[in-house]
Amino acid sequence: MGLILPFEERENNILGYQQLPKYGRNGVLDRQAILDDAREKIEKYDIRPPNPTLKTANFSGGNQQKIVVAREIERDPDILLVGQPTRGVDIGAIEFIHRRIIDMRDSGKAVLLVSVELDEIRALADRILVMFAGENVGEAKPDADEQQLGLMMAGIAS
Amino acid sequence: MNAANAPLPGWVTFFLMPLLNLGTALLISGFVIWMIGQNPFEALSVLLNGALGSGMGIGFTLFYATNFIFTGLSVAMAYHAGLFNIGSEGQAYVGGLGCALVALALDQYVPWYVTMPFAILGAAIFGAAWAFIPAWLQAKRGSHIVITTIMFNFIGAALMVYLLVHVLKPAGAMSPETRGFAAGGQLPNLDWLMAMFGSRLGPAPLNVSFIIGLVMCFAVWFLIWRTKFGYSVRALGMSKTAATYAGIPYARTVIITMLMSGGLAGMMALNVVMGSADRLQVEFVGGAGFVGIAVSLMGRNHPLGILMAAILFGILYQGGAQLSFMMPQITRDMIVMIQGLVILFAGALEFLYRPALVRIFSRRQSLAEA
Repeated sequence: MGLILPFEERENNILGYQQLPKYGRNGVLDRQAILDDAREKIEKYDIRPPNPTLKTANFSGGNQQKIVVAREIERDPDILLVGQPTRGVDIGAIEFIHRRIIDMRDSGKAVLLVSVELDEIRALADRILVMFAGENVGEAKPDADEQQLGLMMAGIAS
Repeated sequence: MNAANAPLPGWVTFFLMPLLNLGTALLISGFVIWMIGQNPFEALSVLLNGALGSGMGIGFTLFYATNFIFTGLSVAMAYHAGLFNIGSEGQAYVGGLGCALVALALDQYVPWYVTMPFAILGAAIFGAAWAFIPAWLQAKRGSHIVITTIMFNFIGAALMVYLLVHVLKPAGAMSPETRGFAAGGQLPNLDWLMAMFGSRLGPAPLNVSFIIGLVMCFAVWFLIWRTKFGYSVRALGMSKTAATYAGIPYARTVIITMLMSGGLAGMMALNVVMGSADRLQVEFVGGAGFVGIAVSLMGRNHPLGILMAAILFGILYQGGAQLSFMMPQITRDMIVMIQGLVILFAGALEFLYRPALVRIFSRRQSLAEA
């Protein structure tokens, strides 16, 4: 879990990156910078309620998800490993997260997406690797028909 | 939104709720006092008068409170990292050794204000050292800190008795204590503070340690809520897995936090050893380390809450002593029971009235919005 539920939203917004100098120097937290950073991401990812000082536990599951996604994607990593990035997220935000993931691909970053949503995979992926019983059973193109993918998922075809 | 998480106005959470809890504890205490045939109102007035009625009473109350501030901060510091430090008692005791060694070495040569910084350092280092082994065992070996710190209380007590009886006791003296410190090892009383309010301290041992305690309250608050280290400590305390994910080193954070916790406990020794007794005595901590647990819980592990809880327990200590003196039917054990009730209602049952308050205030809020 990439969140600490009793923390305020803005505190979770820097989790894992708390040592970066932009969040404060000499070991002291720069509260204004942290707050501004949280506000910016809340705005961009439409996190609701838009309150950076609210306890994270009081956000809905989808909005908690958005806090994590915002934090990790906005860091602009070279490799993004995402599992179920849109689980429990509302439709508008799903679209936004999908666009951000595509943007990352377009700017030359490596993205490994793990998901149980077939539509999500077909919409986002350039290559699909199908797992069955803990093993990689084959590769498909995103335009492969669903039946073919389904057979691979069941371990029948490869 | 459910009642457990529903937000309440700050003044309700931090002022009204503790007050209601305290009131309940006093009500039940009063009932018990009435049951044994005493007048509860008289008892309450004796208690409050003894603790707050005179400059001397206030002096004693704040003197006790100083002990509880240090031990309360010690417990709170560890608690924020998810560690339950039961060993403040032993850490304060061993801290006394560090404090006394400095005082014994310097008291004849330099004035108190030169001795004091070294004594603070000595007390903190010895207290921290006593917390180090349990901390290391917790961080590296997984030995539970509750068990090891309790054990270290006993080891510390035995060690101190040995040192006082065989090493530190001056030749020919009867009681197991060091020689009395000269003026350079005595912290001055705060009689000027009382004089400011037109009152007299009298023989009460309230001393400079109280001010150090207030400074430490601020320092601990700043450390925990304003620094990156404090952020790591809190993250670790609330979710070990998330802290690991965030790259917070478990062993290092645990050990450093426990060193600070032990150091704060050790600094309590300053108040008694150099501020009041002017020598190192057997059992000088007198349970303040354990009261620190209650103080920390009651103060919600926040320095401001700890300060208020420490003063409350100072009142109960000083007023309680007065009460058992003035009303002999109310024994020392009754006082302990009253303290127990306060801990029960303010600590363990602190959310007793929360659902009711949430109902009242959320209705008021929705009325205001309508």
